[in-house]
Amino acid sequence: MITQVVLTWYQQTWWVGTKEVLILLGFLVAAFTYRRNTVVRAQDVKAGQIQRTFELMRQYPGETRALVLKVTRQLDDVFNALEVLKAQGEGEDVIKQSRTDLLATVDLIELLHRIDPWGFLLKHPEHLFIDEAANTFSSELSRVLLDKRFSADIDQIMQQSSMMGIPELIEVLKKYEALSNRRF
Amino acid sequence: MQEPFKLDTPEKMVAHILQMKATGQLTEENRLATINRMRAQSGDRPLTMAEHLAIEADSNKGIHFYTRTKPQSFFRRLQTALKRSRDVFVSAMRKS
Repeated sequence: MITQVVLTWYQQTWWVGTKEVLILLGFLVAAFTYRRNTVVRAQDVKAGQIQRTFELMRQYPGETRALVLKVTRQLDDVFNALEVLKAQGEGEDVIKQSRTDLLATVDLIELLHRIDPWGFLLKHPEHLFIDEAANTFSSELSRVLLDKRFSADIDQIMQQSSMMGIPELIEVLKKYEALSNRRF
Repeated sequence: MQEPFKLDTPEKMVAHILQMKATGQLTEENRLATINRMRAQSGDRPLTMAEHLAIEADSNKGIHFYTRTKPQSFFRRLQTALKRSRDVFVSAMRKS
């Protein structure tokens, strides 16, 4: 009796209708789950973005900022020394050679390496809030990276370099410099 | 080549440069060696003299490492080629 019922219930009229309702419900549940998981993933990405930006803003004022300011000061020293040499009537070749020679004593490469990963983050907007990140360091970094006085030597250093974030960083800094100039 | 000693004031820098000039160390080869020593700090290959001079000429013209044109993607190049061929076609038809 029981076996008979079990073997034949799926052929009965009431079950065929219920099955369609169940399938429809299954689709609805699947669609809802997919939508919810998408939202959760988007929230994860956003949380990572917020966390990374916060880390950068918190980490920058310490060692990195000290290094940036140190390099800025050293570059100013180098420029002053070059001015003194120019005032003493040294030729253009001597000035060029001295500039490179004095730049080698500056902590420029260390700074470039420290800030290189930021360029990678800035290239991918889903990793970082670019406005907030750039606002943290742009005012000080553009004095080093966009310095016209030493750009010839930085060109030599960066030619086919493994530091691939720096060009992106410079692009962002140029954009923000243009914005800040336009605002006033 | 020896490591440069730490020069922390402009006076020391000037004295160092004048001393180098007196000993005749201010040459383009030495400059390239200094640049290559800086590049070696980030593990990059040393530049040759020809490359060094080419980069310098570019810098003087205002072409920097970040202003060079980047390699474009396939579809971007295809789009450019189509646009160019369309312009050529239109101008040829206008002439005739």
